[in-house]
Amino acid sequence: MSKLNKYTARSGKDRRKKRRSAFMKLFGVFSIAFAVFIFATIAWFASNNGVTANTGTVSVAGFPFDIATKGSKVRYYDVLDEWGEELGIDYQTGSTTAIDEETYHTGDKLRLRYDSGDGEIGPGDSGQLQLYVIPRIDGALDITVTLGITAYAEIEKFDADNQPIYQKDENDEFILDAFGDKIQETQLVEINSDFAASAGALHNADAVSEAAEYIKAADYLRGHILFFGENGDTSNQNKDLRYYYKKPYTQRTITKTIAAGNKDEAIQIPVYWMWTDTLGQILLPDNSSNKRNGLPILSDTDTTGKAAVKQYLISEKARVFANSNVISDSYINEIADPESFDAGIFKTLSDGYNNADFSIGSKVRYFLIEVTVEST
Amino acid sequence: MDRILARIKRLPKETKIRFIIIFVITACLAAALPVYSWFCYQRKAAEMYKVEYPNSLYINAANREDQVNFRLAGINIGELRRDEEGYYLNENNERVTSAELAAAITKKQYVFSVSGSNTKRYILQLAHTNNNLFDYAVYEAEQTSSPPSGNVEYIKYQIDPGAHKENPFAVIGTDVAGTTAAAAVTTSAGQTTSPAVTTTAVKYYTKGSMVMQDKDPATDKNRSTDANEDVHLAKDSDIYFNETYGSSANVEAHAIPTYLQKEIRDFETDESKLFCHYYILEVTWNGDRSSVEEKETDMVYLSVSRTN
Repeated sequence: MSKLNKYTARSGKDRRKKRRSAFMKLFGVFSIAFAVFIFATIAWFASNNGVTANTGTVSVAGFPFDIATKGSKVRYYDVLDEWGEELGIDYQTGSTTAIDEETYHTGDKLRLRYDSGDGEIGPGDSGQLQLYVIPRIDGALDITVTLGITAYAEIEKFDADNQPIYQKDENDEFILDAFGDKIQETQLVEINSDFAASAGALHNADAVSEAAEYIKAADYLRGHILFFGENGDTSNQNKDLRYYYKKPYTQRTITKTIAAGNKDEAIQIPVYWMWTDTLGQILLPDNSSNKRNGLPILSDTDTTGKAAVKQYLISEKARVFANSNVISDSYINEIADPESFDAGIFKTLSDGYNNADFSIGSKVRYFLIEVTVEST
Repeated sequence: MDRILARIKRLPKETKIRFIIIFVITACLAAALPVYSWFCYQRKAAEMYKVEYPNSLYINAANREDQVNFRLAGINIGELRRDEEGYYLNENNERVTSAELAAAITKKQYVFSVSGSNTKRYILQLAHTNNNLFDYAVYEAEQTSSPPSGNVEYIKYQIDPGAHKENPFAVIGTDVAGTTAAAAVTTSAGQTTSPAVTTTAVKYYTKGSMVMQDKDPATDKNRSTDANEDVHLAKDSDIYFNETYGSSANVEAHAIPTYLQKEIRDFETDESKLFCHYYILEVTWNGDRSSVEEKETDMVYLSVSRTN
């Protein structure tokens, strides 16, 4: 019998049997695939949000670390999700429940500091992020901390006919300011590439037409806030030796290894930030030109740090100077060298820096310093 | 290798499609798994800040021009009152035929401006020496681009083109070549209005309510506690005298300065938090020439400082 005959000779009953078995096999494969899919999904949720899955069959490996914060101005609720449209309101009327300052608050999304909104910041202001990492494993932990900045603008609202929408009280009466004028409703809008669309949704034609300036201002803010890893010396008896920080994080990422044996210990990750007032504090190598106003951000002897910051100014010049189109890299190099200091060039750079500050202040209302901690 | 390829080629179309699907799914899974695990070990935190609107405060000449355009030219106390066409005027501002019938000028007015952004309060200060028997006062002023109607006294100010180097805020309107138009500044009544956008090169200033003035030095001699809106004549035992001259008693009496100050607050700003106030510095004297024959020089200082 030929091969062909062998197959064609099969009866209809055989064929049905074969089909059923194939179907069963396929069903089995699908079931397994589906189970794997479910497990993966639940595992992801469980791990990310720290909740226990209800299915007894799913077991999730523990998260290798937690991030934590503490202090009187901390809110540890999962509030980041609400920081969209209700951002400003939430920020100003957030819960005032008393908080134990010594307790470490952990969570998936932490707010490191809470402020009533009175403390407005501008050039010259600085601070420290109250960031801790608590290892949940016995072994050493490698972490990478990434720092980012998100800016928000406060946009006045208009209706579909481009008429201003004013604030009303619970009796549907207009709320008036101290001068008897109606107060326009505003909304916080994240400044990103969709800004024009977001402002358009609020019918604010001015904001739409100025979208490019808003985006620029947010970029200047990202450029003007510098991060550091260590405090400097601001109380030296010799005033000329005072400076703010050490270890500039110009790459905005911090890699750190937490040694083994620190399970459940809160390890502080020191992160300082500063919105430097003047360019001279950042770039001038010393005060021989007499143009430096205020303390330098880094010690004059910290040549490594200064070189890193100078490189940062060069590579990020579009985010630092409002007039970056007329600034060549050599300008920055010349000012960083006392031998080639030129007052005219310094003024060009300073004007660009200060105008960028003005742009930030007049366009950005709130900003978030965002910290992402990852372990590998 | 060739044999494997040949075998693949020989496969039925159906099987080939299956192979491709399997291959694609595997690739997708391979890509997705590391992404998931990366998410697994990530935690986020954020800190929020409110940004302060940039604040600034400028003291400038009229029309917010550079300070150099604020000219306190020499005062000729013998000068007679004339109109714009040069005719002599009497007490009632009526034209008269001769200098004998004309009234003497008894005051000079100078316009200056205070402007800025995101300022809620500021202190306006005036200090002057007392060599001449002049009285000083500061009034609010309203700027217009056309003369006020009716028999209202006003000051005509010739605009100096290209005189906005100090104050970077654009001057309202397009009345100065080279400056761009800005949104009209909304201010409280009596201080400034939003002038219409015109191309005229002249501005008019009308006197408003008084901000501060010299008082009789005799009665103010030792007043120094209220720093808000009082006149302080620095005299012996006055803290202003002591701060200026220390214990020295040998100071020429008329060189001792008088200080005036007032805190300006509760004013409106526009949507960009800008404001601009105009003021008139008025110097008056007694028309009696005999009392002022000994001419002297006085120094006058104007300053503003932000208090918020």
